[in-house]
Amino acid sequence: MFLSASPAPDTAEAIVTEEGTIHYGTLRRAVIEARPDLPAKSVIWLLAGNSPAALIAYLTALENGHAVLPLAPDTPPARLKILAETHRPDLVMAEKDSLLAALGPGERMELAGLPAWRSPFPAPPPHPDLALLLSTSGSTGSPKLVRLSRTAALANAHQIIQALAVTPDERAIAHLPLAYSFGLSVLNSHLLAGASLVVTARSVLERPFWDLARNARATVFPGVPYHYDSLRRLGLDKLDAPELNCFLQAGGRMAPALVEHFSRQVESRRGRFHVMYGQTEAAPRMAVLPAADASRKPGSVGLPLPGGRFVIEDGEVIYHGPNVMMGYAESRDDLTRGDEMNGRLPTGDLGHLDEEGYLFITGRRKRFAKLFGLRLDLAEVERLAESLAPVIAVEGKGKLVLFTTAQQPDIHASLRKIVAEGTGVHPGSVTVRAIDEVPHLPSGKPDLAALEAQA
Amino acid sequence: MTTRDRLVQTFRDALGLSPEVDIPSLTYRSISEWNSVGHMQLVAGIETEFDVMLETEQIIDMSSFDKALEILASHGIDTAS
Repeated sequence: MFLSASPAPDTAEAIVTEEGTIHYGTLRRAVIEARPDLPAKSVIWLLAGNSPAALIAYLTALENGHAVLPLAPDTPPARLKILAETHRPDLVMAEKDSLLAALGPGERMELAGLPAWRSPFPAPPPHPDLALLLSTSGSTGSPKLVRLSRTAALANAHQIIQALAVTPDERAIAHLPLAYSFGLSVLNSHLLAGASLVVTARSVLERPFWDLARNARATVFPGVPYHYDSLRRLGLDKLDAPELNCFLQAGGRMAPALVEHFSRQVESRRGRFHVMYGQTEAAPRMAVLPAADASRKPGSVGLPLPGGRFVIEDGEVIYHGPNVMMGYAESRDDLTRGDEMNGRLPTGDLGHLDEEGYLFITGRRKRFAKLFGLRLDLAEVERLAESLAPVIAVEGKGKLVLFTTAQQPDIHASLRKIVAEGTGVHPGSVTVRAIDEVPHLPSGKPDLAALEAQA
Repeated sequence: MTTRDRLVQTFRDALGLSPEVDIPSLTYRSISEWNSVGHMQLVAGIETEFDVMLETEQIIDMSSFDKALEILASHGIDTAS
């Protein structure tokens, strides 16, 4: 659907890698030739990292009208097994044959050059509108899936193209995981715009990443706050990727000082830095902060995408737009359901709109600690501590636990004091724990569940 | 303790590795602990232990234990003993 609707001529470059280039014409042919011999609408899973083969497999499933769930190739076998028992895929493609072992008996085959497993059990066909399935959590939590319709996924790609003015000349670095909604939306929107994707599984901390960025003349870098921490330490201007001029940030709140730092640095190379806001449930983007507003609206996640709007109800951010999911799925049977959201998404985020309609996210509705009758917004607690040290706050048994990578005892004492004073919690009920590093989910977001388990 | 031994210990601490791991044979992403998050921890650990400041080029070139040793040598640290 992204490929068939793309205006790119067959001669335009679609995928650029260290190994070579694949043009749109080749990609279109590959996707038609690999058409799977399956019932008209089947549910196909793809266990793969970033590679041209994975991208071709993804598009083969999607463009031939099936519903696709991209999953991280390092999904633990035990989790994959539970996921498969709950959601019963018709077909699973994987970058390595060994990843299919957890699925049990089934027909083995090859599809789009990848090993595949076909379920021996019939399952009800998914709803005709269903196109994409995405997992909402990383390694932890219930195996709940987000159901996205073809209309919502296409609408969001169009909204992103419009809001970011994506032209066919852009060359976006596709380094974020395919199974991560932000990574997937970069693929979808750039293909739909007829732009090129610079596909790599390498990290920003490897020289070959930057060699590829330079040689492929990459122009767009998408990243989560963690990537920008690394880029700051490396120094953007020392990385010699002169044509990189559009920087996208999503995947959680980034400190305003870091946004300011990059906005200024990117401006000096005549580029732009965009803060974005979204959720998998919105296919996945909802807002973009225009680059020109970064210093005028510090801390804002921007304006709703074209066709979308925000309202605040009891402090919670509610999004309305054509890109809202059909609903969740907790089992295979749920995939037969139609739209249950009517374009309205309660985000679970707390926030407010300023007089010009810019959205500010202040916390997560669910990230509250309840201590001694006090309702504490944990994001607010983290902001109290921010000037001293980076902190992740979680609720422990009758106490507030602050995890920090700062090791000095005097900083710990100051953290306890500033948080106790700011929240009204007794200093004796605030515990500071030093950790060597913050555990991360595959998305790059902190693994809060892992920290809660230690609290 | 030799520079090599100190570097082994720095790797062990920064990446949180158990005593059985053969550190001198490690390369970037050869183990799950040496991922991009671990790499930045490692850079910070080396800078603290050896009182050096790594350049951008050195951070993105430090793809193995041996490379890290070479980088220390380039900072004038005696890695032969």
